[in-house]
Amino acid sequence: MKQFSEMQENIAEHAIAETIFLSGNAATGKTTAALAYLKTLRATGVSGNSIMILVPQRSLGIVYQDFLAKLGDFNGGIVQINTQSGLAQRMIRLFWPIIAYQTPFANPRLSPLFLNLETSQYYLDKICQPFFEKGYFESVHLEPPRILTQILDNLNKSALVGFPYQEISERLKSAWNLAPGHMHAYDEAQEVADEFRHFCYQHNLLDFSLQIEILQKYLWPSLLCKQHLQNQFRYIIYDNCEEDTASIHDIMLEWLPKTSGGLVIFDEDAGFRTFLGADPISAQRLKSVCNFVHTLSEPFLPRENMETVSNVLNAALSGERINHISGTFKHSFSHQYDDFYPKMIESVAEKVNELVSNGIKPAEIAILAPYVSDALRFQIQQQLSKHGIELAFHRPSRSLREEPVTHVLLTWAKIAHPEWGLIPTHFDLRQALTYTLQGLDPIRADLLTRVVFQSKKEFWLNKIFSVRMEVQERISHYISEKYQELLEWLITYRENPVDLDIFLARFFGEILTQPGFAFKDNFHAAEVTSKLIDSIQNFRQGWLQRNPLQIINISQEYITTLEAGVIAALYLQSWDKPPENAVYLSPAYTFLMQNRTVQYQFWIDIGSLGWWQRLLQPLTQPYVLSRNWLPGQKWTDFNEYETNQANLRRLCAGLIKRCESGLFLHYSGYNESGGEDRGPLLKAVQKILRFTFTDQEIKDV
Amino acid sequence: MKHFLNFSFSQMKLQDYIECERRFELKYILQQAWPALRSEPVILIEKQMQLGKQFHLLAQQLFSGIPESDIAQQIDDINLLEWWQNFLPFALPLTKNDHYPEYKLSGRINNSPFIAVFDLLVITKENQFIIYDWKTSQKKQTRSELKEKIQSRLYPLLLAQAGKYIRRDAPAQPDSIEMVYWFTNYPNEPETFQYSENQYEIDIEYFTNLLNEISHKFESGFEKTENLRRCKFCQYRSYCERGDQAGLSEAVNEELWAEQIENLDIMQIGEIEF
Repeated sequence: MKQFSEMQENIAEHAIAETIFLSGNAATGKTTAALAYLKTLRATGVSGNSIMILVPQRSLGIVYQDFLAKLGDFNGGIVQINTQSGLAQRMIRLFWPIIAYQTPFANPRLSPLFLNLETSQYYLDKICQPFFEKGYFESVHLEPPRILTQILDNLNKSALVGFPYQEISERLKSAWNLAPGHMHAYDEAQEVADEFRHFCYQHNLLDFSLQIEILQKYLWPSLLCKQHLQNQFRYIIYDNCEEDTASIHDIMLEWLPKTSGGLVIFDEDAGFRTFLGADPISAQRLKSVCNFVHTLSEPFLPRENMETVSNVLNAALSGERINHISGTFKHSFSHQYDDFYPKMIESVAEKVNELVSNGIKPAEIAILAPYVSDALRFQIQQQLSKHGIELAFHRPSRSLREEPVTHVLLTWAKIAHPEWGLIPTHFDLRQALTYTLQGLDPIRADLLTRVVFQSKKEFWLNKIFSVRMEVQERISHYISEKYQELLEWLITYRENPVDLDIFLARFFGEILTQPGFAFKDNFHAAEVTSKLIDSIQNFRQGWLQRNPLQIINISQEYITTLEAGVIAALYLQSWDKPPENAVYLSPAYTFLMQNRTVQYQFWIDIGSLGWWQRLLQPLTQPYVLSRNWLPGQKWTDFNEYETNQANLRRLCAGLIKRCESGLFLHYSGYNESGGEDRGPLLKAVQKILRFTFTDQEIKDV
Repeated sequence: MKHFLNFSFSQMKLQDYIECERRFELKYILQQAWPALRSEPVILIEKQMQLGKQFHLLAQQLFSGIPESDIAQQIDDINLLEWWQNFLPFALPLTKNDHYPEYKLSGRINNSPFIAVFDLLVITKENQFIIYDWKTSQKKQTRSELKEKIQSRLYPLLLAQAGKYIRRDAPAQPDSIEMVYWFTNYPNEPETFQYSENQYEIDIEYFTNLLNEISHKFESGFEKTENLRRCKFCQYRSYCERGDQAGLSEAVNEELWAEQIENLDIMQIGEIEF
């Protein structure tokens, strides 16, 4: 069981009957104090059912989940870990009958249908089509899926910040400072958002923004709902409140004084999710309703060198003079330049191997980049595997469209349903055969495709026995038999076709995982298939409940929409703790949202502007659509520059606070795409190097 | 039992273990995704599960203080309406007692953590603790089948253990606990099981032995069931090379729904999805 400091135990004791606002930098032991609080509550006999842990993002609840699992039972109850969105969904489901009639929904009698990101995008795309045809958004030069996400983002911001969605465009326009021609794009986005909201009201569809709005406007003000929550949860731990939104802060401002005790944790110098609506300034308001305010300033573990690294980097990023640097600085801060990107990856792997050979556990090493592409992940995985080191990686959401297994499954679905008219290509079939028939290489798969694929016929596949014997021999008799088995299954299936998800589940169990077929021991394929089926099932079940667009064939609709890139079949990866025996790779911001430290961090591709610059979002603006933006003020290049600078400083400080022993910075002359990057992080590092290292040491920089 | 450090047992998990050790291992220990069909016909099963889910929500709403007239307005399915009309005469009198819908409970047996979600817990003025479980399947299980279910043994046991935290002044004793199954399609035939001190002792021993057995399986291996009929209704049948096609189910497996409740309520934390 975890050991706690005297200070943490004291805080825990106090929070039994008081509410405490606990602030401090990362790694000063605030979350550990919350764990001590849980232990104390348990020892005091408080039932887990009366405790709620509120976190802004699921990943931030893992540390609590693990701790609670180790504690076992919690005085007969179960501690609930919630997010704003989770809370909203639970409450809407339960209390819909009493609030529905107050809402603008056209059919309050009907239960609501929750939309996820995919289904929201799907409906919004349908709403957008007539507007696209009229030439809307031509001036922003963006792919339609990115337009959709930004319109949804605007609606979400209006709910999270708490302003009427009808004001989105006015707010954005009032801050716009460049060519006036762009302003009509904001009006177009507003028009589509209005139309989408109207559509949701007509059909009882609840996208994320409506879920939040209903919680704020109707549920929390309802006495029954409020009492339900306040009576159930007498103790609250609210961790990383600075990463949460102003709207949930509003609720907590009322709720906290009604609790028996609680701990509100505020991480100073954070607010990494501002682009998602996080509002650290708003979070500070919670101080005023807590009985005590306490600040932890000392790092929980001694890390003098890393403090120096943090200070020096901060000075360099702020354009300040770098003062004397202690001799041990170089032990915690090293850099490596390589001419080319692949070589940089090799260097990272070699350095990681050196650390592991010296007894550092792989899980104590994190490799961080501004973005993690599949190509980057693959290269690092390849290089580390040469040294026998495993890699665990995390991207907050991943698209199933990018998985070859998805293409294979959808190719078979198209072949099984020729009436859809979605003819696969020669390449699609070759890939499907390679991935389906065990032991079939691409060359023989190509041959097989050439002899059995006839896209002009009613059913596109031929029997293998109609193929010349010598060709069958080249393909091999065993594979020919398996192909025939597959074909016969498809022909039999054609007699009673079913919905796409059911087809895939049957095909998976009855063919793909049978002896001689390649999914048999392929657990990755099983996982992707499972997630794809879930995605389609969710789509179909929503369609069964409501079919506002009168879609006749939902399976066909799913495939065409997915292939058009409108829905990405995004799935949230599970936030399980990374395995102990693997080095961890993730985008830098994702790592910050895991609330954990490692001994060593590698920052790669530090020349990339991705460390500094926010994503181009011409239809939205997270800093303008915020409570902290003064209406009428203009967003200038200066604001943009200052915000990027501040974000980079915060990011670097946040990462270093989660690093105990050493930082390795890697960069290359040419980036992944062959360009030359010289972003602000690299420039700051160069400044440090000029001051601390000899000419010989920095000759390549 | 060091293997279960991050693992809470539930009636569903143990029921799976009893039916097939290998399924238990694949599903809960290895968490191996295997998206084959469990049983056919899928759409019918799905529809019945959906109705079951809706019924449980309506019951929860009633016991959370929402007026019955408001709840009834949402019902747009004739079967569900019939269930609801069957339910009200049974349920309304219960609201006069202390009642806790969707009550979550945790406990320890042989140092292993357990969890349970009761559809309803009622505490009468006479200090009787009654656990209610709503069953929405078409077919009613026999009394002896119900008695043998892990749920019928585990729920009262956990309540007996945790009772002191629910009513500090008058904690639940095994003799004051009852478990009632109420059937939407057989509203006048509820099955009641009175718990007792003696049964509590028997159950403690039973679960302790079961846990020890599971613990040993980590060394000896988790065996596939010998009852091949069960494989017809298991998603792992192709994994285990025990056939290809899913069996035709005469009745919706109530456990599928129980499993969803456990997963939804305990394991899932909502996520901001943008």
